[in-house]
Amino acid sequence: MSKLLYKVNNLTKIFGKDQNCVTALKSVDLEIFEGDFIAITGLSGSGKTTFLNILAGLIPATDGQVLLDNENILNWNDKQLSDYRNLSLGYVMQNFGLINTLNVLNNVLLPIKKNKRKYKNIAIEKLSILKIDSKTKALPYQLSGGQKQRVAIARALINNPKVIFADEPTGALDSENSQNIIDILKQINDNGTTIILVTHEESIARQCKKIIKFHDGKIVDIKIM
Amino acid sequence: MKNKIWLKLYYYALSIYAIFSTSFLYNQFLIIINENITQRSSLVKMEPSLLTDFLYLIKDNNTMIFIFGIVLISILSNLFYIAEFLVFSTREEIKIKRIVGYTYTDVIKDYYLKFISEFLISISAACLTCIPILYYQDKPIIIPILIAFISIFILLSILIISILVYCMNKYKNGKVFGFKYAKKMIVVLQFSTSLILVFVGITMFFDVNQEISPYKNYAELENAWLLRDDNTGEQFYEISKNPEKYHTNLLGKIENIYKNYFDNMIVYYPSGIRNKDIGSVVHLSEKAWELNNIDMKMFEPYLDSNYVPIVLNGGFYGTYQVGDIIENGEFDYVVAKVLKDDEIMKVLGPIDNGEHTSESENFALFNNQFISRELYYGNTNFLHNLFFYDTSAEIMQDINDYIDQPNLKYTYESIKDIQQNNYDSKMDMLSAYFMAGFINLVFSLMGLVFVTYVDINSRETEFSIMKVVGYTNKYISAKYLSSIIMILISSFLIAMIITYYTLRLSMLVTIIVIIIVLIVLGVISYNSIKFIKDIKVVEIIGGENV
Repeated sequence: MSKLLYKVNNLTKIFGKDQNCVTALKSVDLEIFEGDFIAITGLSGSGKTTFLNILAGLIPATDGQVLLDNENILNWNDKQLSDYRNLSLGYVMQNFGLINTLNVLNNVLLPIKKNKRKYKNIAIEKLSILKIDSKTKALPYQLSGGQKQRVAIARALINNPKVIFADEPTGALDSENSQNIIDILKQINDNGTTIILVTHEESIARQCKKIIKFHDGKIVDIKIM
Repeated sequence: MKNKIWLKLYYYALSIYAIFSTSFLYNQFLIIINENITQRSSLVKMEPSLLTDFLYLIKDNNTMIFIFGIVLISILSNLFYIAEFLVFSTREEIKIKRIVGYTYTDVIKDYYLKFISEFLISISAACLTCIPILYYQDKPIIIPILIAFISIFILLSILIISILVYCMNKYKNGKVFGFKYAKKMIVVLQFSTSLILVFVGITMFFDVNQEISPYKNYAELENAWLLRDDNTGEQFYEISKNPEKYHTNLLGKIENIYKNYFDNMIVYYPSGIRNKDIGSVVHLSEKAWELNNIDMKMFEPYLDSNYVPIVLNGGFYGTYQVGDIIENGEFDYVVAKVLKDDEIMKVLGPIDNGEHTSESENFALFNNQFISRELYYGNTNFLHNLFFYDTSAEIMQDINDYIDQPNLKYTYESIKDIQQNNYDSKMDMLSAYFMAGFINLVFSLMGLVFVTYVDINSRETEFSIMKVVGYTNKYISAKYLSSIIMILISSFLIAMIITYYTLRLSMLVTIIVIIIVLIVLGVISYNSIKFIKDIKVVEIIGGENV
């Protein structure tokens, strides 16, 4: 039995106030284990990205708990949340999230706050695994979509995190590049890293170990593949 | 746009600033052209003006022109920030317009018309606010408003069109929006300008107070009078060229007045004859020494001798000793004191023939036997102004009637009134200057906030990504603020270097300016931290909120 990584209890998120409020998550309960490769699916507006962002400590919840090693991350301050994002997780975004003024190598080294030079070889190694090491000095606008996403994944891996959150990582890619990215994520998962992936593409979700379906802010189905 | 109200207020404030500044400068211009410049040798006779009052403070006229030049650039910088801020804050609108079929020219035209119409509303409101105030203060209204309006209109038009064209080119080339280094240089320039104004303002404040304080003694004198000529410099030039011709008419009468009323006169004039060894000498009566808080005890041993006691400036320290005799032709000086290098003895008369300080001049007791000689050699200082104390208005009237010539008129006035008016007008000018400096500082601060806003917004994606990969708000703010700190330090250093070489910059003034810089840093830091903290990471990194 794998070790429990996250325990989500009664997670609720309401955006806005009074008459304009929208309930994005309604009392969600979930357990995520180390080594999981989870696809979170659902229609647009079902709450899947909100769920991911709360787990990543990017937005606060209205109610509930997200326990990580028995600590509720929802009670953490900015410093604790920043350290958590920096050291424990990697985040891959749909729009790649690369800084246009930094070259590939420096984008990968971005999470390293001190002694960047020391990590240069590790960054090149990660880029090499992802077959993009020939572009270390290129700027983001000189790369294709698939290349940009591989750089973003390399950045997510730089601190060897326990878990990778990927929000629609294939959303801006063609089918060939999408499959490449999924293959890379599978490979990372095989090495023991937990992956939580948000997607609305059925074909992508089917390649994960577990599919969690959201609808109107609730989990309506959990499928083990 | 959520900042629309603030922006309108900014236009409004800028318009008011422009109108008042123009009115103030135009008023000064009118004073200068309406008055006879040749009569401006004495501050008592004239209204203060920016030009004349700054001249004594600033060593070099060119420096003053340079300072006014950068003040103008500072105002332009403000307009630049607004234009850039506006274009930046509606960049999405411009992009969408391009997508739905607008040409670049269409976008620029639409944008320009919208911008100018909004500005016209603000400047009209500013005019309505300014007119009653200027009318009440009896200041020029129509021309300054027209000048301010036309200048701002033309400058804004040029700026907004240039910036729009620049931005469009940036979009065309697909590069990152921003002026980066050029913009930072403009910020440094504007801020250093403001700091120069602050440096000058505070220095001037201390200077005026220091200058005014000796006058207070004169102003406190009861029954003290100034008898002065109402004539042009040309007439006196004529007299000084032909002293013998006027001797019996005017010079003889003045000599008589000095002889008859010597005990009731304050004599404060530089000698017309320079001593070859010690240079220029300023002659003071005992009363004048006393009124300038100078200890008379040092003169006591020499008062009954045939020598004239003299206090030498610090340049002669070590060269002359107390008791040394300095030959001076008809009479000789005896050294009563030699000032040390760091010992400053400032002596100001009740009128300005410039200022006389112990740094460059020597001071001797005045002897009424010198009058004939000084008058004979054409020392016109003795003709322009005669000072009396403990004298009634009736006696002053008699003296006035006695000295008046058919083509050379004198009038007498109470020194107390003159000094009060002098002080008031100096303080008026100083407050106007302080106001201008303060407003300029506020505007540069607002400019800096605009720049910060645009800068942070244009980098919000970068900051959002940094937050996602684990950087704290504190870290990002500190990193960002380091560039702001560099801007402020550079501005401070530039301002300090310029003022150091143009003014008598004191430690106190420097400390005050440092405090102001720290306050500005505090305001900017507060805003920057707030901006960075409020960045909506999730929206920017591209996720759905719901």
